Amino acid sequence: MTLLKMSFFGAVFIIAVVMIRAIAINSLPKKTFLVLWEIALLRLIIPFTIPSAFSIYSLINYSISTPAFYEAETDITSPISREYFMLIQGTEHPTANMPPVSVLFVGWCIGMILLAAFFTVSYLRCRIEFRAALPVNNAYAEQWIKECPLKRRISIKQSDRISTPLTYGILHPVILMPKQTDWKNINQLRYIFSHEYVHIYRFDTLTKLIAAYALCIHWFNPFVWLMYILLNRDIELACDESVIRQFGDKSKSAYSLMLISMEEKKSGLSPLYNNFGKNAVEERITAIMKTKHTTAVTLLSAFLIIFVTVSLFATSATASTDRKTNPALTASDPTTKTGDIAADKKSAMAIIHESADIFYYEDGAPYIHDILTNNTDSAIVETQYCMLAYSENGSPLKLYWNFLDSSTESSFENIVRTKTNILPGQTEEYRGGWSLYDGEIMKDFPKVGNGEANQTAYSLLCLEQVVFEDGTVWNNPDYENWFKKYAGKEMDIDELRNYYPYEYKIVSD
Amino acid sequence: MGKETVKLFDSELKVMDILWKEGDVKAKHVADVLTKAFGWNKNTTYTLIKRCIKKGAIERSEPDFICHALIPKEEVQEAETNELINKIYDGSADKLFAALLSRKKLSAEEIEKLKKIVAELPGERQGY
Repeated sequence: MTLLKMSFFGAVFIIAVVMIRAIAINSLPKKTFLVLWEIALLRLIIPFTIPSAFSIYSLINYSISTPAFYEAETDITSPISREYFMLIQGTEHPTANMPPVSVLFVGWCIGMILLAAFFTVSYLRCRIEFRAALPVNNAYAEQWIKECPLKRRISIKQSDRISTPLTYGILHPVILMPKQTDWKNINQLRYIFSHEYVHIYRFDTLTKLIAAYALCIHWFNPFVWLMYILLNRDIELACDESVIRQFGDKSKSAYSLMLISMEEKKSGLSPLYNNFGKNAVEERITAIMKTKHTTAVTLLSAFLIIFVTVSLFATSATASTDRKTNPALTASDPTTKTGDIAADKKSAMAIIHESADIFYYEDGAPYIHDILTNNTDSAIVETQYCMLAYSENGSPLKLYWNFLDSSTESSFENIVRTKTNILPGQTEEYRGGWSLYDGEIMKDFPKVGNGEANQTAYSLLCLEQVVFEDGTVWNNPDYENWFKKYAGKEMDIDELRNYYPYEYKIVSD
Repeated sequence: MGKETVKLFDSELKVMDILWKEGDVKAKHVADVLTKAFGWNKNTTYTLIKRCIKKGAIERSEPDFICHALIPKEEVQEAETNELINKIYDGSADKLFAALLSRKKLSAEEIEKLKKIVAELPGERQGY
């Protein structure tokens, strides 16, 4: 999974959470959003996929990509009068005339370094002040620390460099109080300490650190900035909620007024950003006043929402699950092949055709997009495969190609050859595809056939040959059988629908 | 030619206190005393001394880094808290943006509005 893909999937998840947050911020436990944001962070940082049939990506059938497509040489002609194409897809893999380190990559690196430097410098500037903090001599504070049930040793210090309390340090947390703190107001101290304790207890500093890390990586993604802002707010909201729960409903007003008085103290100095609808303080006060008790219903809905959101938006399509093999076509029984150890080892390896879908460009022009997964131990650099097309009711079709030089007008099958770069364990990216001809839409194109509309509803693909990075070439031993079975034959719709994922066992070189 | 008063923060005052009390001492001595008193790291103290030098409160002479207080205790003012630390440390991008984009103070009206929210929302009666 590439960074862009992670960023994209992350953004989709973030949008979902933002919408839920907008609707339900005051009706769900605030912890719900923290959990959702943490999942968003994982999504952004760790390249993982959990295939799910309920994934939004399964439901919308991938029509999300904006494919770019480069057509190339068509000069290889096979002795059996099939058409060959050389196709270079996408811009992802370096070719001879493209440097491996792109401008985009350098730009991304610079942005990341700048943002990381900003965070680091900010942190270092604060740290010097933190280190110069002074001890607190207050009986209540000392007693509070003594009664603190946490294993980590918390200390309380004061500084005249801050105007609102804060906590820093993960392993040795320090609650830093402003110098102007009213040390006699025990009630207020109790609220402040409890609030900071919840931050410490939940490792919120660590969460913020991870969020900053994710932001550095995905700095180009505005949704990650949005997440960063809302996550920081929701950490406070969840913390407030926990304090209110602890002290009871009666504390809501007093607690809110305390926060407001802190705002008052620093007003005139503190700039507040007023976009994103309500300002953060107002959102916070409203949230506190509307804090509800956790009931079985709210708890259940929280779990439900997390579950549904995650299974819809944090998962990928069921591309690689439920992978069935076609008995007629998977390469032969390993025992019939050479029985040596190398072959045994390779028998576990496979290439999978995950899907081949008919997509449409913005102008309505159709194309076939297929995806391969490489489950071998070597990168795939070139593939050659046959494409067959069928109409909605299963009749074999001639594929109408959109290549302008088309000597290739139409035939039942098309053999294509394409350069690629699929690393071991990798599933191909969504990009580009084989353009089809649609007479109704592509009026400006030379007429192919009798100029009728595209009828391709299903496309069956079968690899004939694969070239690996190490130079080895795998020829599909079952290709001829496959061809005999499918080419030009009326097919059962169910069989067409269930054709993918199609697995090729790699038994020998 | 009115003499300008020097504004110092608490931590910087702790450094000055030593000089006022003990007279001219080595920087290392200041660091040792403050480590003992507040558990400060040596570099923390040196940073504070450097700041005092910049503000014109301390003069440091090269051999042995002897620190000398340039101003008497009476002429020092407490520096005002600056918001920078809160702003940065909160990690809140609200504030990060605020620094970069439009600045907006929380006005008296807005404070009033917040208080109204507290008064109006049925906080106490809510819950079941």
